[in-house]
Amino acid sequence: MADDEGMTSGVAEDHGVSYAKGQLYDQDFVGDVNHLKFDVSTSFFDGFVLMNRPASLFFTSGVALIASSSSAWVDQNGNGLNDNLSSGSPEAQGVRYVCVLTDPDLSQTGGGGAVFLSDPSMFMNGMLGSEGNGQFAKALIEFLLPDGGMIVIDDSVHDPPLPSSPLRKAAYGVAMFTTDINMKIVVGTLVTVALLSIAYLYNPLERPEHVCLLDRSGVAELAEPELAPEDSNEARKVLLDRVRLLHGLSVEAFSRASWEELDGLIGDKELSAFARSGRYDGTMEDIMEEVGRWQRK
Amino acid sequence: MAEEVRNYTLRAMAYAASSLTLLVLSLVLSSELLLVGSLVIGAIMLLSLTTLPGRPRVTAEMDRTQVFEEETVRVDMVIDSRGSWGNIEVFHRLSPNLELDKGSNLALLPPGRSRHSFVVKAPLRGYHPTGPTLVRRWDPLWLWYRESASGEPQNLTVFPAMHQGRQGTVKVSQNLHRPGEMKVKRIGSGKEFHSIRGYTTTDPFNTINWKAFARTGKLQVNQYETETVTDVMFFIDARLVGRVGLMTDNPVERSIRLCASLSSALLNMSNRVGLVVYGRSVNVTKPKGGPGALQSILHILTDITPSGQDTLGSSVTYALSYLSPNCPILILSSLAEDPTVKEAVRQLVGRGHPTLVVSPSGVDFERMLYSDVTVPKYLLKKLSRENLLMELGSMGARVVDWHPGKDVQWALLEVWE
Repeated sequence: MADDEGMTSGVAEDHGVSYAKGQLYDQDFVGDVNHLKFDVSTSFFDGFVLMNRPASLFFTSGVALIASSSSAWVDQNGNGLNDNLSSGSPEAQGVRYVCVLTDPDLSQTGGGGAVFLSDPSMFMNGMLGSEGNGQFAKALIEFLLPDGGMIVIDDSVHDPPLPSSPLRKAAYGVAMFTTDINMKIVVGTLVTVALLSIAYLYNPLERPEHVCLLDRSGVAELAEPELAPEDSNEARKVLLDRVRLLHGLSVEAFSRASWEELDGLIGDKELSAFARSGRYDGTMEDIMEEVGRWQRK
Repeated sequence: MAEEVRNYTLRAMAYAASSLTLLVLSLVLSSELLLVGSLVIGAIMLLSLTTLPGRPRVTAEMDRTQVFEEETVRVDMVIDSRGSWGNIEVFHRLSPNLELDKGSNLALLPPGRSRHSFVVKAPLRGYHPTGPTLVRRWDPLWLWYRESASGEPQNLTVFPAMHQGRQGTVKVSQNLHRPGEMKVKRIGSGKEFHSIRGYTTTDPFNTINWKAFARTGKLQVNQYETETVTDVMFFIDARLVGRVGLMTDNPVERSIRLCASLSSALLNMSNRVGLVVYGRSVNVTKPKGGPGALQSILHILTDITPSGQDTLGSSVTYALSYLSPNCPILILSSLAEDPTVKEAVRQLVGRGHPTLVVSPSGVDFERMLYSDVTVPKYLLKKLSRENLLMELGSMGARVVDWHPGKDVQWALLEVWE
């Protein structure tokens, strides 16, 4: 099992194996710190193998086939620095395992074991010729199948699926998966230029323009065009003033009039009732129209 | 000289982005062609940047600085700059209360000596600032510019429109006094011809009627009617509530236009005119006549800004000491939202002042904004206003209810007897 997507975690768990988070670093490397060289000494192989950015494994059953030196450490926080040396921390230096042959208890479901590798690229075409990778693969197969048999290589499941069109593939690959730092700078520069251009588009310069404000308008008394119940008192005052003025009475003389005299001055039963109590059988609009039509009889 | 502000355009951004993109791609793809393209674009940008025209001198002159409402003013601009490359953009600032009638106050011109003119219409009285001129110097490709202001702000004085109307005396009451010029059919030193009489040694030579002398052979002199002179006091409502309706047509503006027209006519007849303007405060101008009086009154009217809520009552109380005995009073007010109107008019009439109330109907100005639809509140306010006008009439004041549909000419006909 060689998995860099975490899709075999369930099977690994059944075999008592788990993957440690973070890249493994060791003092033995070829070219750069990403290519680690491991000294392998097993019953079926004795030599060196090369791995590219391996992770590390924990296991509870079986035996380790490939282990690191005692100076290896796991970059758990991904900053490329060995900055947590406290005992028990994943970044503390110590032996780590990258290839394990398990011997699980599978009596309920079957039997047998599995070999788990923490770096699937070890057996890639480009890596088979490095160090003793090819020999190790051959020896491992011979060890696992001493009497020969069928070998099935399942390389069918990948996640996420790659984009379909060539253009999208290229863009996606350059932006997301490239390891070329120069290409990342190029992409970053172009994206920055594009973002600046877009930002400027949303704040373009404008030519000055004469603004004329003469079409403004204002309201005061009709700011609230509808009549409200609280306008009833003003409506009564309008009615009484109209009656008083059209009868040619002074305020004092009109104030001295009794209710009966007022009814006589108005000469309309409904308007009289409105003048007395503010109540009217109809809307406020109706009463105002009625007041407007009222004439001295 | 004012400091220049530098700025760039979207086009400059596009040029820079193209140049940078080509440069990066040329390095990535090892393409000399792309590198040449990048350098050419960059060179064009730099070349354009170095060919800005010289800072121009701009003069802007109005053909008149004092006009009446609805009149136009021509603004002539002369732009003089050094250099032959690049572009000049000028924008002459105008008050938002001015309209562009012909042309534009924004112009794009080549470097060198150029002229640009436009015509401004002044629909609203006031002191309207114009200028300074905003000048932008552009490179030939419109990538960059430098901006500065040129010249000093000027004021365009727009006096309220005046209407001639029919000359006569102001009808302030049905049967009371008649202010303004009053021909009393007595011999005096007026301008209207009265009769001819024989010459005496004390008569000035310029009164001799030479035609009559030729006809009769005796020296005859003209005699003229005498005229009395009256003070007329205007109370102008400049409260904020009078600004209902449109900016150019509302009770305050109508009142001011009517006041200007009446003042002109009254002053022409050798009367004296005083003003009481109330709104944010009460300002009294004592009655004055003679040369310069109309100009002074027009300036006061031009400077009125509707604001505040002082009442007619408080302004009458304040101005009482400035009122000549029995002088006619003209109140120009919408009378809206002023509970002191009745008491103020009663006070004026009681003191013997013939009082004329010309009231532009504020509630009808507001109704026009509702597309002349009769909203419910209108009925109430209209009836309330009718009652008030009726009551003022019953106190002895003459009342003119001025509907927005009637123009100043109509109001003048109503006012003049």
